Amino acid sequence: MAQLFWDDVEVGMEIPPYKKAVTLMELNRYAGANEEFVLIHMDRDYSQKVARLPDVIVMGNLKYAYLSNMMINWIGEEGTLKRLSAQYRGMDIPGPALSTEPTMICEGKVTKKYVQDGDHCIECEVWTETKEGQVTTPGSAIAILPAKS
Amino acid sequence: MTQESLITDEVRAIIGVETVSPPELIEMKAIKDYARAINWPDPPNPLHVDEEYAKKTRFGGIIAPWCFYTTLGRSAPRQRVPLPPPRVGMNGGNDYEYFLPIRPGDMITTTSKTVDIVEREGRAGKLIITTSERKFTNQNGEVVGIARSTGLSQY
Repeated sequence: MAQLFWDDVEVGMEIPPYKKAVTLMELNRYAGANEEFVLIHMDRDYSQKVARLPDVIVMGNLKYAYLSNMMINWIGEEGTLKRLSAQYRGMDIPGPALSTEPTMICEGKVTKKYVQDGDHCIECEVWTETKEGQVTTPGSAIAILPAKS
Repeated sequence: MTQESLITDEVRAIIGVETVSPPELIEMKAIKDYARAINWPDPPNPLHVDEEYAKKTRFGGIIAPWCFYTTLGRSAPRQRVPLPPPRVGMNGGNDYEYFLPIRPGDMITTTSKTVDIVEREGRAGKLIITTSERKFTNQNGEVVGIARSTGLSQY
């Protein structure tokens, strides 16, 4: 992918969305890699009967990883992610096994653009949305981009 | 009858107390497994799994995905928070600041502390919101990043 330059970014610009069909396969893979074996991310009976949740829910850390992927894909290898924050306000339910229909859409837009100590910085508002359009994970990001001049 | 707050002086006493983990070896396999998991079913970012590719980048070799911070500091001595076990515990949010990449073979020390504990009366009962901070230092004494996290305990 072509490198993104600070010069080409405008406030209000949208970040290319990052979409994922999140199923129990993605949750289990991540549970293993992150050693995050928590019943509300693994067991539907437990989630519904004991934790009183609608279903198994997607772990916040994995939603964070997807927002991070969106930023990294967009800013490119010469861009540097400086800060990313996300608040887990709503629940995301994984889709059915083998489904390829996205259940989570990561989006964002540029809110600020400035130079600080010689670094060409941008700030963004980022979030994840369910396929019904509900924002479940608002957040923000700061990155340094290469400049043409 | 007014319900008593769960945040006693004993609970409050843990705020600001630092614990330090033993240095933790960052293994190549852990980096690669993590990189695969966060992209699955798409291929992982080669910067985290392909040494030949990574060598040609400005990083000069494989680095861990930035969000790898979620895995760090598990071996830190656990501070016992004197609260009853919640009905359900959830992650409320992550706020990570990145200063330097983490590389395979690094020895990372995690310094953890609880920053704040507050209680809210929610529709479903009491909610305890715990804010904590982990600071990651590599074998050269450089702070590579800081992770602030919010934990939600529902009673």
